[in-house]
Amino acid sequence: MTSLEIQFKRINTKLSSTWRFGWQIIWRILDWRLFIAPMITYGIYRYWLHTAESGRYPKFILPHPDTVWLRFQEMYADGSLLLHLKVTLRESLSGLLIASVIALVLGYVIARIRILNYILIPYLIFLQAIPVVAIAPIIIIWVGPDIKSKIVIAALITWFPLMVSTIVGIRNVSPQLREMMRANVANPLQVFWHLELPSAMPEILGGFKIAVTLSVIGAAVGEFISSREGLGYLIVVGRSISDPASVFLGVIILTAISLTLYIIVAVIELFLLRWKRAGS
Amino acid sequence: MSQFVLAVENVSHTYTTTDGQVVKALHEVTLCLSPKTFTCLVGASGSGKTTLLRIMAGLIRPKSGQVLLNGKPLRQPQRRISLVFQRDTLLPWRTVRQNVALPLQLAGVDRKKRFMQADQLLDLMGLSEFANAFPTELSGGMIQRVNIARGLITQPDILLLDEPFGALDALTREQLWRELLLIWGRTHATVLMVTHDIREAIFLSQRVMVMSTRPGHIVKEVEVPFDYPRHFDLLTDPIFIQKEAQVREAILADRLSSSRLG
Ligand SMILES: Nc1ncnc2c1ncn2[C@@H]1O[C@H](COP(=O)(O)OP(=O)(O)OP(=O)(O)O)[C@@H](O)[C@H]1O
Ligand SMILES: [Mg+2]
Repeated sequence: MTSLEIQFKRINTKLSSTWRFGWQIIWRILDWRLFIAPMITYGIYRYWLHTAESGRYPKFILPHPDTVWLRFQEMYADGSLLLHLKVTLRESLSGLLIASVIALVLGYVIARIRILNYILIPYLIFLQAIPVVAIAPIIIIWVGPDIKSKIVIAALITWFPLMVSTIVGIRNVSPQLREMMRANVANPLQVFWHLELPSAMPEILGGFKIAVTLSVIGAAVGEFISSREGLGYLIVVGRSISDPASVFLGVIILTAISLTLYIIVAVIELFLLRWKRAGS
Repeated sequence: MSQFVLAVENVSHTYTTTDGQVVKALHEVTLCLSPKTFTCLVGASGSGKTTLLRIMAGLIRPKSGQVLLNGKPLRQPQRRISLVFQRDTLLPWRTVRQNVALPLQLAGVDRKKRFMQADQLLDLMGLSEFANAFPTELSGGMIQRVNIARGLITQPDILLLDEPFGALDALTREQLWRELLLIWGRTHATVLMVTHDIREAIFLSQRVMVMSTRPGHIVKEVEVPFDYPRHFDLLTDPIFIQKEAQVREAILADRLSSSRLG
């Protein structure tokens, strides 16, 4: 333990419990290990720069980082980048929201009502086994070429991991704790709220970590097939007019969205599951 | 204050294990807890004491026989009956205070009131410093004390305790005997407590019941004639020692007969 850490612990114990958790979260965020990934990213950037400047690949295959940076500035200035970003974000988050409502409800009833496990699971697996990418064009024909079809695609790609993690989480609730709640005359809603939900939270949050990144993929896939805006659109157009700078920019922004959403879930997890770290 | 009588009539229970074996846990158990009495239940491990308590708390239906609360069959758990579990059943995501306050929260008592009562009980259990700790940060004995506090918070009319002092050191244990008798003296709940410690059983209760092993059956009842409040010099009283011998004899007799059978 470094002296700074010791000092920090000392401040920690003085603060009230709620503040303590607040501090712990900030402490976690400031962990030096968080700087490893950006360093590696910087290394990759240097390699890209080096390769681009070596002239081994033509510009329409590998653009120079500066070209991408310039494109970013251009599109940022005229507002088109923000527009694309907003559209994709709205599609993926709406899809995620719809998927989580459906997945949590389905997952819960399947975990609690045994017979539904036998009735529903085969069809749900069937639904999941269809490659969403393959039926995306049909969905766009059915739902229409606007934002709604992309929301549907994003929801279709995210609901499954959310449902499975909910089922696993609810099934894992300790029977002893269930009995304790029953002995204390808890009604079903109280059992859900005070026992099942917090108990299943680690698994559900794990599902969300997968789902948030998938939802961005879902939105982009929809945009690849038919769209007039969004980051997927930016990539498709860039590809068709041999403008790799747009393709790279689109991919980088998509990655940034996924990463941000993932980090948001991770921070929520840090807060909600603080009890898991207690006593270790 | 109304008086609640919990009676067990001819209760038998069997479990079927996952590998299909049928375990006879209880056989024709009959007992009656009169209002405001303190009863202890002793018996070898696996004799069905926990099973009996779960049945008396309304958690499981016996295969035959019935449990009556004031003459009416008990069909489900009641708030006036409180069970302190043998195993750790604290919610790991709740702090100690929130765990103790849980039964009141489920009964719809507002936050301020239930936390105040929880803090009082934690103080009594010597755990006020740990009100904001999570269960994983506590020792085994501390967890048990939190468990007991949670069982007491609703001020139940009938309190069922399943080896509540199992993981405690001798000193804390004796201190908690006194606290428990104090609480009992104040509230006059009806108490049934399971324990493996014969001296504990006699020191605390007015009646000690001895249970035999597989199937669980009450083989002996020993009345304890001492008045309350009780003091620790009782432990060396000749009558106390005589009662202790009686209970021990009954347990040993059961062990002998069951080993002869097995
Ligand atoms: N849920 C269960 N399923 C199957 N068998 C069980 C179950 N619970 C208890 N048993 C069996 O019933 C018998 C009595 O168990 P019980 O827990 O009531 O004993 P006990 O007297 O409380 O023992 P201890 O003093 O060790 O706590 C044991 O043989 C045990 O194996
Ligand atoms: Mg037991």
